[in-house]
Amino acid sequence: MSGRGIAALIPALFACLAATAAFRYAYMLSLPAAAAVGGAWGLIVLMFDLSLMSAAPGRSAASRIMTLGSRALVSVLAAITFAGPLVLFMFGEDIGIQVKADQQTELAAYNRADIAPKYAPAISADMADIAEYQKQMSGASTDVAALRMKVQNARVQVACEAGGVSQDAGCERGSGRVGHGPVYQVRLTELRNAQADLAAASAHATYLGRALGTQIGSLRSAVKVLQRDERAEYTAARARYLRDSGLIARWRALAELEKADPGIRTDVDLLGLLIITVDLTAVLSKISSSTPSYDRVLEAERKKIVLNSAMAEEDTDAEHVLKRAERDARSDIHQATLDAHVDVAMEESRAWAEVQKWRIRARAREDMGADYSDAPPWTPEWQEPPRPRRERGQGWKAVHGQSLSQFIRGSRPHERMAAPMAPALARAAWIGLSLTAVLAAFLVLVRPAHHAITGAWVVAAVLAAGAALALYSRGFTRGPSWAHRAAFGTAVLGLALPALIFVHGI
Amino acid sequence: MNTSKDRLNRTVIVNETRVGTLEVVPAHATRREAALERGATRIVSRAGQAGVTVSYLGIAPLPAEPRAYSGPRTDWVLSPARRLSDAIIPQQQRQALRLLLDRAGIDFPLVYVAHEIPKGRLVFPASSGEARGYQPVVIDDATVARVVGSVPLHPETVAVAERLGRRSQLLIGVLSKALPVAGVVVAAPFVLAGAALGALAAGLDPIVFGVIPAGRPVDGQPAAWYALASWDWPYLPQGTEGG
Repeated sequence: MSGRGIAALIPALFACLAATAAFRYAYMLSLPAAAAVGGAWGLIVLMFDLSLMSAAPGRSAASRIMTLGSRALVSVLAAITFAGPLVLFMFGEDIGIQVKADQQTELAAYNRADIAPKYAPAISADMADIAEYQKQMSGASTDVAALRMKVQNARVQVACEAGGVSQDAGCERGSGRVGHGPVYQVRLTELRNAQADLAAASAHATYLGRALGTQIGSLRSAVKVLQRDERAEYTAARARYLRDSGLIARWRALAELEKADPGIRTDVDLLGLLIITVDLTAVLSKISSSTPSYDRVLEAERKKIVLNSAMAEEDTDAEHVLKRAERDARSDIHQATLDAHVDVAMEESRAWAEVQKWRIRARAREDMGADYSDAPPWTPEWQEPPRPRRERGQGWKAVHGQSLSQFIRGSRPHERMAAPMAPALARAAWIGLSLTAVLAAFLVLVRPAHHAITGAWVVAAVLAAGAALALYSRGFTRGPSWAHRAAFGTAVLGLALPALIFVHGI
Repeated sequence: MNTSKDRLNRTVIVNETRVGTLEVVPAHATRREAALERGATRIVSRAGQAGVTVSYLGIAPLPAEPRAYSGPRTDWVLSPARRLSDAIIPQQQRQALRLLLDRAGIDFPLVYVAHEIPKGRLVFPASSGEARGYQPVVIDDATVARVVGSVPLHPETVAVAERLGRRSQLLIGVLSKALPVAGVVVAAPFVLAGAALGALAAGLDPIVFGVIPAGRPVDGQPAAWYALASWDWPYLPQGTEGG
């Protein structure tokens, strides 16, 4: 595998890993699914880069920019897409801590802003009602207790009056007389009144306890319901916030980390740049070489295909020509056979006519008593007179010439036909070339003293070009129009270079 | 010139047909001639599609040797293209022949070139004159080279050579005043301009024929003749002909 193949494979592997990590971590896909997506993307990138490396774009700059620019655009977009998830993956631990802190903060804020205002007023009102009711019940109980103490005291005072005890043993001032006198009756009345008040207060307390107890119970139930709902909503919110570790939360956490530490931002930027650079490896490799090996391989393959095609075509053509020649030969043989048959028939006819003529002539001579010195051709005495024969090769002289393709291949444009140079031009060119040679020799000699002679390479180039022109034009004697112009330029440069070198060079 | 070319075309066909060596025409030769006749329309059409004008002239025997034709005002020499000077073609006609070969895919097995030469350069036998209908005379390659001469130079090349020669003369003149030793190289006359009043060169009207023989390329073989290209060499003073 050549370097170009590696250059196409590296971005593909990297794209596969980046896409897998991105879909696994950022989009929470399962590992097999993320690996499948990453493999597909890596395959796409590999095909894209192989197509890019193997493509032979036009020689124009616009075509190359169009081809490489599209690939670079895709690389940048893909790198930007996958760079973020990879950065999240690499800073995952820090981002996780930051996400937890953000969740707690956000949960508290949500509780303050939404949950507490929703339940606290109702609970507080109910609790206030409960307190008020309990206060009323407590007041009633206090009254009952006070009245009960009053009844007990009144009962003691009745007993003290009945026993004649005054201001002693807890007895108030009484009549001091034993028995049920008027004071006793008063004391008894007070006792009865106190008992009546106690009974009334007890009845009221009982009533309050019964009535308010029910209300307090319902209020407490309502409070419990509210508190349960509040806890449920808080639990739900807490679960929601703690579960909220998605892409946005992690991006926000990363932004907070970057804001807190500029070094993290630099690391993120460098990582993104690295991803883009690796993804652009194929494009950079394609741009960095003017004659990529892939192009050479492709060119060789194309030439091979063209050569094979041409050979196949030539074989087909040769076969076609051979078949045509064979067909023509068969036709010629058949025609020659027919011609031979015709010739034989003609000769037979001619021979038959000759025989008939000789028979007639013989009959005539026999009738007229002539001799038989002139033997007929069918007699053994007859001899065939010599026939004029065509000399071997006569009329079959080959034509030696060129085909049109040979003629064009050996042709030269009339416009480039060499013309003799004017002697003055030749002399001027020789003078210029000689001056240039002298100048070059001088520059070589003075080089140790003047290490930096500006324009020395120009002199060397003019000398080399002039020498080549002299060889081409056979000593400045003849050449096409461009050679004339070049000879004149050699003359002018030979005269001008010394002045230029000495004015500006040394 | 075009009239001369047309006359030459007709003369070539008529004379070759009249004096050709076609003694016995076998049946297959007849068939091949008919095939050549039929293919002529296709070849001319393909050439026209390629942007090249090709004229079909007819069937005539192949001459193996150069032949000279005597005309009323000029004479003509027809020979297979094998001289170096035959291969010097103006760029426009060269491009047209390339189109014929590359775009139309037509490759003629043989190429003949006809050169117009002025009267007097070639001496015809008395029997080949006008009284016998301008019958061709077989000549050798050396005679062709002598009577046709060399290709004249291109006018632009000649103009450049003359202009730069004058400027070089001026340059050397300035140098001779600055450096007396340079005076030894001054005062050489221009070779090109010196012959400015020479007579106009002739033999300047070549025609390129494409030929497809009916069989082997041998002398007397019937062949289809096409006029592929023609041009007029520029009239230049004598002495400016190229080598």
